[in-house]
Amino acid sequence: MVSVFPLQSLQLLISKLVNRLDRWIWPQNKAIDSTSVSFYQFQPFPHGLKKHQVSGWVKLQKKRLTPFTTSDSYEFVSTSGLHLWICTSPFTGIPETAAQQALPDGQYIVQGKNHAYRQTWSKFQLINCEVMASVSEISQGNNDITKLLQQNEHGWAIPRKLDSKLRQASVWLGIVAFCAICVVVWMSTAYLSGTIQRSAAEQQVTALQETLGDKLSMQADLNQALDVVNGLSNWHQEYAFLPETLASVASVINRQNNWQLNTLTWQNRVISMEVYSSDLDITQMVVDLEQLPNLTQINIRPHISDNTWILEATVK
Amino acid sequence: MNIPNAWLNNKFVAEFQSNLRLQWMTVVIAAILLVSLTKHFADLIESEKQQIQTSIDLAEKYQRTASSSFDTEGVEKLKQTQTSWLDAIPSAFSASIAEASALSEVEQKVNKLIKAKRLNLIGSEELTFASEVFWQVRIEIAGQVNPANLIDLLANFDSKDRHVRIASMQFNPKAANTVNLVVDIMFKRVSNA
Repeated sequence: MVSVFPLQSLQLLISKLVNRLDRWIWPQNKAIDSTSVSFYQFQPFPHGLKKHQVSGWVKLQKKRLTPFTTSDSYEFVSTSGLHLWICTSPFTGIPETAAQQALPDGQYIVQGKNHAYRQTWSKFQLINCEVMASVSEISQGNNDITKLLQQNEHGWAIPRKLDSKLRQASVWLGIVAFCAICVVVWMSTAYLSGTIQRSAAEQQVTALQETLGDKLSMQADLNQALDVVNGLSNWHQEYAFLPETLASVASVINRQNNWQLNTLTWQNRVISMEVYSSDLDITQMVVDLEQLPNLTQINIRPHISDNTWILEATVK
Repeated sequence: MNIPNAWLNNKFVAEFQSNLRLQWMTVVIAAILLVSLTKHFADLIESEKQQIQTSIDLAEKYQRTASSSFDTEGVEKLKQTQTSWLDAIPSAFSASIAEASALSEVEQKVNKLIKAKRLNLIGSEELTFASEVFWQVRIEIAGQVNPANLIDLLANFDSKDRHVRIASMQFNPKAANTVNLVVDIMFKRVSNA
């Protein structure tokens, strides 16, 4: 089994798709010659050959590689060089090895309709192709892979019209013009439908404005009043109220015994007090403080001095 | 005169047909024009879409208003609350006047209660609620307060005064009764026209 690299199989797939597109746009039925015995030559492009020199180089190679005075030839110029089939008698169609499907890299014995071929493939291009003396030669012990020649009109060496068309500026100009027409039609439709929608919505707004009348101004007044009241109220309550908080905490401590305030800190809704008292039931005090509805997170810890406690509470 | 022939004989057409580079350049220019045309149309449609959305939102809002019933009493109550809040906030023509008024008010509130006092104007900030504009002036008060006067001092900044709030406070009776108080005072902007 021949393993094919993912990149190669992708190339093959793209090539097949382009072939199909080409035949769909320009359908053609070309005859395939499976009887003529031709010999095949592959001549890679020399290094440094410019694009505009290719046609001259191809002509020269055809002349150089054709050994017969009267002969027919079939040529295919790929990305890597010239592929030439030469036959002593005229071809009755495209040579069957030109019309076959491209094979992955490797050597193959390929059985055609009337002839068998020993082929070498590289990058989906036929590098070498020899007509074998007889079909029975195939069975004589060699390790090459035998394949049945599958020929069709999407053959690897049948030039695609699409390729030549895509090299023409006028074709691209046509594609750009087609895209421009599509864009203009699509966008104009979108703009038109948008304008219709907007005008319908605006009409609805005007009609509703007339119907609502005073209700709208009342709604605006209501929203304004709500914003002002909420804004001012939130501002006023943002840091809570120290006097009221201190009063409620002090009233709880007062229930216990005489006490003395050593320090008082108030920040970010947290009151922190250093309290001195000779006799303080801190458990009861925390219980009482927790019962206050406006306080949360009551913490108490001893100070380094005797009978002194640090009390912290957060306002809800 | 045959127009197509005249067109074909035109020297610009002939030049275009013979010059491959000119043809490709035309393709590139056409492609650039196509891209900018698409961008222009897309922007136009985007702005149209936003306008449509605005109109639809407004129509929906009006429909909600039309279908909802107004509690006239509730509206009146809310308006009264708004008025009471606005009445509780003193007015000022400018931020500078608000700052001066705030310093004066604080001075008046703490004058007899804090010894060796220092007032420091931290700054003022503009706040907007609906169409009403306010200035919040922040003042830091430092000095010494007799513990017996602490309650009186705090009573000047309790929740009844709706335009005043205490942001922070440190009171240290053990360290010469030092006090550090940061208060915010709110003023509403009025035009002097």
